[in-house]
Amino acid sequence: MKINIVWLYPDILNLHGDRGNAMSIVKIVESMDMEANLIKVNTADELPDLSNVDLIIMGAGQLRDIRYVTDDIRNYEQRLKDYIENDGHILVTGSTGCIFGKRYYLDDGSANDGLRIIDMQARALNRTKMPMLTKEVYGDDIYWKTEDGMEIIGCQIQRMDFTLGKAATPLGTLIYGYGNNCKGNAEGARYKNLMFTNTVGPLLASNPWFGVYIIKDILKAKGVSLDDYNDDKLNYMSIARNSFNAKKEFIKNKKKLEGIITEN
Amino acid sequence: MGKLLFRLALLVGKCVYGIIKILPGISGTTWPGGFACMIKKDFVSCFTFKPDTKIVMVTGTSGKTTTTGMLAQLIKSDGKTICTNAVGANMGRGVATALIRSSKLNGYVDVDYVVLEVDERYIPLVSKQIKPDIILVTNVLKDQSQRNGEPGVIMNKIKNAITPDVHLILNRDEPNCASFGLREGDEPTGGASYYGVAGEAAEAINDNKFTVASSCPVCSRAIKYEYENLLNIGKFKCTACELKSPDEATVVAADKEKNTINVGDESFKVKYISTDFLYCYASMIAFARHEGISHDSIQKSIKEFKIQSGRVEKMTAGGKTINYLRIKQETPVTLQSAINVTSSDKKEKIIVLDLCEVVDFIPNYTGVYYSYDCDFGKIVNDSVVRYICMSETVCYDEAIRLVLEGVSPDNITIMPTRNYDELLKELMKYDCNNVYLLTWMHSYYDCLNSVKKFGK
Repeated sequence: MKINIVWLYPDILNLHGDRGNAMSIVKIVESMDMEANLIKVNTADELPDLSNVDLIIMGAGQLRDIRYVTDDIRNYEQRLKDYIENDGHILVTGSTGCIFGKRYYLDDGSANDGLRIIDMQARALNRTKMPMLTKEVYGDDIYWKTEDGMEIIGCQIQRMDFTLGKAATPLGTLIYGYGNNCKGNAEGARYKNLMFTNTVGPLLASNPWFGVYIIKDILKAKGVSLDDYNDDKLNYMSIARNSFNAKKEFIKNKKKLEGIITEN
Repeated sequence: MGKLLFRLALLVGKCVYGIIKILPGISGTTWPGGFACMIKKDFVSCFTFKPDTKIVMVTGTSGKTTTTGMLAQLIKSDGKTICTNAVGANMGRGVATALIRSSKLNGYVDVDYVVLEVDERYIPLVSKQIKPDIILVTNVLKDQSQRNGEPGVIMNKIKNAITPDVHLILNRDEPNCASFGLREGDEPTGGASYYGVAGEAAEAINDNKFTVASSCPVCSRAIKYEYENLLNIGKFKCTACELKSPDEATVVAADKEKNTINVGDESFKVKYISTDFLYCYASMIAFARHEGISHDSIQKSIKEFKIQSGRVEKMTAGGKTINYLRIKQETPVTLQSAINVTSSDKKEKIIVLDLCEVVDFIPNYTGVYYSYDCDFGKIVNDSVVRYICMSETVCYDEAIRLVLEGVSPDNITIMPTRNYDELLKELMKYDCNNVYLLTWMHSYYDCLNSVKKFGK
């Protein structure tokens, strides 16, 4: 069986080692004895027929590139929306998430329309100080859990504040970190199988169980069950579990700034 | 009143400088400037210079210190006088300290050149206080994301320092840097000159399905490289717009057998021939050409220039040679350079990776995602006897990086520790005596201490 994965704008949206997600998801699919067909798409005319696509991944990008990506997506906006409405899976990380909201405001103060798929707004952090963090610091660990209780630890380099509207659902709940805007414990956003998280970089490398969950969900929709899949078939799963535990301990013991969201 | 306050601040600064000089073991490279700036906020703006003094600022992600040092040596070798800031003292206080050191008591700095290494985040502030005639930008790359966010943030800061009359000396092989030459707005009278390094075809990055390009700073489309000498640094062209490596540039080609560099018809004997140094030489020669400095002065300066220690060091313990290659955390170009040096050694080796948790600021964090911006494929081969991943927390993420590049987990030893005594014990288990240690500066000193203890 083949899993078709579209990697959108890999040459543009690769700010924080995001290609690690592509590397991980391919490895996860192969550990399930399937073939991962990775399709790189950098412009609208390279986009394949989305009815044959199982997963789309989009990494974090610089704010200067977000407007170009949004404009390019407009060329196939309806196809993408149909894909999402038909429960197609998309994983979006970092500032790129703003494209899927209603409106986003960049460093230059400009207001830009998003795809209006998620009831969400985003605003560039146009300052060197983040509230409740030391001056000129954008980054920290982020530790959160999905609604099913799956725990994820990664890094967050926050260049935008995200505000969810009433109709929006967060992807997860913060256990530690800045999350969407450090004013509550919402992390990311979810609409059907469109998943946006502030966790940047290769989150699937360090949290392969999240990748396993996504692939299993894809297979379930195809009527394929992988209940007998043993996670340890993935040759770095045990290393990733150790990584998670070590980082959990690190977060527990590190000096935290006043106001940062912590579960305890 | 302002003048009096400046004189007071300068006097305090000079006293602090004098005290530091006579006290043993005190570094304090920025204390004089720090105290002075506390007394008068716009302290630096109050210095005065000769009418023909040239103010040169060197900024960028990497290579600033070596480039500034080379420029300073060049100017001295050419018989000119100079004021320059000490290694690493590249923020406001460091600049102030350099001026305090060189000035008379009335704040008059009687030199031909002021050459300042300026941290790229501070250059807008510094350039408001002391107006540069020349800005040399080495590169603008992914660097310390926790602090900088993204390269675009730094680009905006540097742009804020560039006025139409400033002459720019730019790395033609780095797209962000080269794009500064496309100045918008007012007619740029200062002009721009470029430098670069000739292609080393063998240094092409491994092209596989996970290889990614970088985005154009002008139009956001993909940048393609004719060759890459360093990570994201090489002769390039945007796939969509006009941005490309300018044809007119000072381009250095290395002859590694003869230890010379060739620039057009000129040839220079050099001591350091690594790619990072080639870019520093190229920038220095571009500056020399702009200033009309002679071939003989350039050659003399190359001969006399000495690098700061600590980037590449060798240590010996128990018959094993440990080649330390310094990386800067969250700066993939430095990690890639270390990988390239490691892979150029075809002998059997053990590779030790210690990327360490990032502890520069509160909050400390576990960011090693930048390792995915690097091509580890170069060190995945049979010459590596063992991979050792160490650090208290991120050792596991280091191992995952290697596994995703194709290394078998069975070939990796994971050591959740910062204790280099333990590393040395682990290394003694293997027959291989050739070890490469890729880590940041603080871990190097830990290793050095362990090596010294081991020797006893």
